Amino acid sequence: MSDLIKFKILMVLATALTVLIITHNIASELFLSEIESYLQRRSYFENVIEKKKLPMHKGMHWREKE
Amino acid sequence: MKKKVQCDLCPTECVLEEYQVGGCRTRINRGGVLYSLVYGKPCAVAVDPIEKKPFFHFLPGTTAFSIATAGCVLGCKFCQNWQISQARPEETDNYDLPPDEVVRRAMFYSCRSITYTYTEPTVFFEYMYDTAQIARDRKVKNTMHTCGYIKERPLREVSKYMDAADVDLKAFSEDFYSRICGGRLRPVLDSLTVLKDEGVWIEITNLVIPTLNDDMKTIKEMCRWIVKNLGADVPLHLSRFFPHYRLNNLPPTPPETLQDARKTAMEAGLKYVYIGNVRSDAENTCCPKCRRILIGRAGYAVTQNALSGARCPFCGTAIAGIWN
Repeated sequence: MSDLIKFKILMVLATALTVLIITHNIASELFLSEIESYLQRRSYFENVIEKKKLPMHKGMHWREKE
Repeated sequence: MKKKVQCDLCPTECVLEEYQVGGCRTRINRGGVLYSLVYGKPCAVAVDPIEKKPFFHFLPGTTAFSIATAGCVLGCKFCQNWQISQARPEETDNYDLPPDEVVRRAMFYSCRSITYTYTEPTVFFEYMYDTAQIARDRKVKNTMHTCGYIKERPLREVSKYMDAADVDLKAFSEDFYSRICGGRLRPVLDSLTVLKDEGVWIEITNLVIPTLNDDMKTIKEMCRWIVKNLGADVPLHLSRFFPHYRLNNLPPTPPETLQDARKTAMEAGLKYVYIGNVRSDAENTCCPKCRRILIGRAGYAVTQNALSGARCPFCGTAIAGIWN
């Protein structure tokens, strides 16, 4: 394998890695933190609140928010 | 992801995502619907003298069946019940006490009233509302000790069944409410005028805390506001502060400060000003005209009650309150 081919492979891998890191950063900024916090809340609800058998009584003063 | 919901119970107006719990720790969004986590699950249940609430012009010498759940809409640094008010309902030991059982027990213990107290009853609004309805049907009176941090619509709704409210007016400054309580003063003043408008008997409690809200000029402003907007007949309880929770660095309120505050309040036009959390003559109800003692108290105990109907037996002056 020539040096040129080795260099091209290295360039492709470096580019792929850079794109991957940028994508991950953008995704975590936009979605992952939200998903992570959702999973934390859901896990707390299922493992703590539900196990304590607290009532789920429909509230009287609230509204849906867009 | 399911829809967000906005709680419309208190002026904080929490916007909650799926499975998120509100700032009061008692309300959760699940599937785009807001649920109460404390309905029928009080963590404090007791039979108390009504004077402990404190109510001095409401059925003196009677007992009140008192309930509270975990949680609060504020986060006062001086809270005396912080172990339950700043706790989540899953952290407290809760009773299983549905509304009809609360009323049944109140009647069993010969309580003339049910008081929603200790923490902020706004956080268990639905539980209080349903209990108050049943109690009204069975001729048991309803009272609440509240910080008044509730929106107008729910307050008007529950006022239909509420006979009396003791409102904590913690200070007369937005800065105090913001820094010490994590709330605002304006909604509390609005709640007081709504309660007055709804015909609910009002008593006001003001905890006098050294260096934070013991300025006589501000106390005078507060009392003038009360006289102008609620009337001179509204009893004011000036309570002595003791170090608690996150205000352990401050000393207890000197009794002289409380006496000064009482004098200031009476000069501002209030007829009934009491001093709480300390034994003194300022626990007694005196006739605003002839100054003779009508109801004598020692702490939470009523030692004498000379009221004749709702009048002073000595000079015939009408004494405001709910006496029967």
